[in-house]
Amino acid sequence: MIRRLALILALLSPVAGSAQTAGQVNILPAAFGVADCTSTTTSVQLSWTTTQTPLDGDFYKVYVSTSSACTTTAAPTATKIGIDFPATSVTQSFVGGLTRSEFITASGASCTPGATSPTIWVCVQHTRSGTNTIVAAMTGSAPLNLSPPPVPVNVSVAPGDGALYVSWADGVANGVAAASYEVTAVASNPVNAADTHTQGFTGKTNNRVSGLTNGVVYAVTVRSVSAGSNASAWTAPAYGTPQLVYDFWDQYKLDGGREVGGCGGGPAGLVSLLGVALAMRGLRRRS
Amino acid sequence: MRRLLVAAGLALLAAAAPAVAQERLAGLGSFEFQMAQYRPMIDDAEWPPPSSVPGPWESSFGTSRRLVFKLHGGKAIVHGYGTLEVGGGIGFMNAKGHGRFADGTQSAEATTFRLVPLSLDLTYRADPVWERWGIPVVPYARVALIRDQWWVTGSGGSKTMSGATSGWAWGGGLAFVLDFIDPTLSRELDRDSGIKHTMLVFEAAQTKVNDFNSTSSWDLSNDGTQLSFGLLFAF
Repeated sequence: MIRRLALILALLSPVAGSAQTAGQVNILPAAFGVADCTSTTTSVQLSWTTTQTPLDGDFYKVYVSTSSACTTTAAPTATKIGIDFPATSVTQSFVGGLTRSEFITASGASCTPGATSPTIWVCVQHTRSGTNTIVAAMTGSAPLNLSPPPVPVNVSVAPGDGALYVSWADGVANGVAAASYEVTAVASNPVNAADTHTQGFTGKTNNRVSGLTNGVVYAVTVRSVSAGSNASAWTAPAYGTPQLVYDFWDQYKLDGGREVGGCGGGPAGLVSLLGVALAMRGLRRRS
Repeated sequence: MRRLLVAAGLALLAAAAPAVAQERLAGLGSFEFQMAQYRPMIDDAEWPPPSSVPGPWESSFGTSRRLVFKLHGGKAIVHGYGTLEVGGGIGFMNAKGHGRFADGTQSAEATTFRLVPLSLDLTYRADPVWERWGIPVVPYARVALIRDQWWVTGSGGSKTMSGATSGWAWGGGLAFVLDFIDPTLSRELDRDSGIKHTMLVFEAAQTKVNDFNSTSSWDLSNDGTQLSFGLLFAF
């Protein structure tokens, strides 16, 4: 039994540890976009796990650049960010030290919209105190998307009950993948700008936009958004009108069905079941 | 002709079976996984043929039969000429279809009917067929009280109505004792897990689930004889 438990734990442990792998640096956000080049409010979060046990006085040095070089033999030719962090634990984080624009600038990456999208690399060196020997080097990267993903195509709309079913396809690939989509439905007949519904969807090219009013014509547009939050242009509008839909119960009652729902119709059955359960209990006591 | 074939099959099984008494089939009780086909009588009970218009069930979910997955456990209470078990079961069935617009055309909106059948039952199994005569096909009969918990969902998955309908069922089946295929493996399974016997079960049942003919209840009985197939473990 203990052996089986140990085996299960051993099988599960890689899954449990997948959030932070030893020797790797996690960067949040996982991708940067054009807006991040000027973002002075949102910070970058870094976390890493060293492959060596930190000793008293050890420290971490953190570098950022557009080069992937990161070894235990020499300091990389990159910008060192922050101070030398005292290595107090195997897994450590650096949060709130740099804004996104400061981080991108420190890496030396170009922020020209439409330019080739670079990759930003972070290198963390675990250094022994006193000897200054680098005992472990950890690395991680995040792309800087400078172009938007393609505009979605083939938008179609089907009516639902207080909702519209919207489907679309990805536009011609331009090297930047769509990570998510935004769908907006605006009341167009009667026109009502206040009756606007924007919903975001990830991973699917069809979805249900809810919260709409039956009988109102809505203009529906879609745009794609990259992992770095670059948004494409909106598509041309497609139109749809939500309509009342009868589900199975509605149809049953419209057809004159006699069931009333709830448990009111079946107390006899429940009592019977309870009766058998009690009889069983009695039998068990006697035996 | 079919009866002749069944009789011949049983005779063959009897001939193949060892002529020694087998280990007792029932100890503490049993546990069973079952799959049954199901289509409720809702339409036929309230809009009986020759109605040419499809009833609400057919227009929402079509005419195909659905699968009900069931778990059943039983405790042996009487051992004698066969075994009497008292047990209970729980199952799940999900029928998914489409809602309709006012003009009757099908919409993209999903509608579902979900069913959780609960049962309390008595099962008699003719164990001597295996224990005394060594024939690995054991007949059994079952009578059950049923309570079907159900709920209907409509647009966007919202629940529109729920309830419970009670009734009863009776039926029987054949349990094929798999031990005779590989007795060594069977003994190992017993030693490792406490499962003394494994059986394939085929069952036919008649259900009557309409709140005992209540005038304010629909009929969730199965349309016709309900056939099911399962795997039973006896402890």
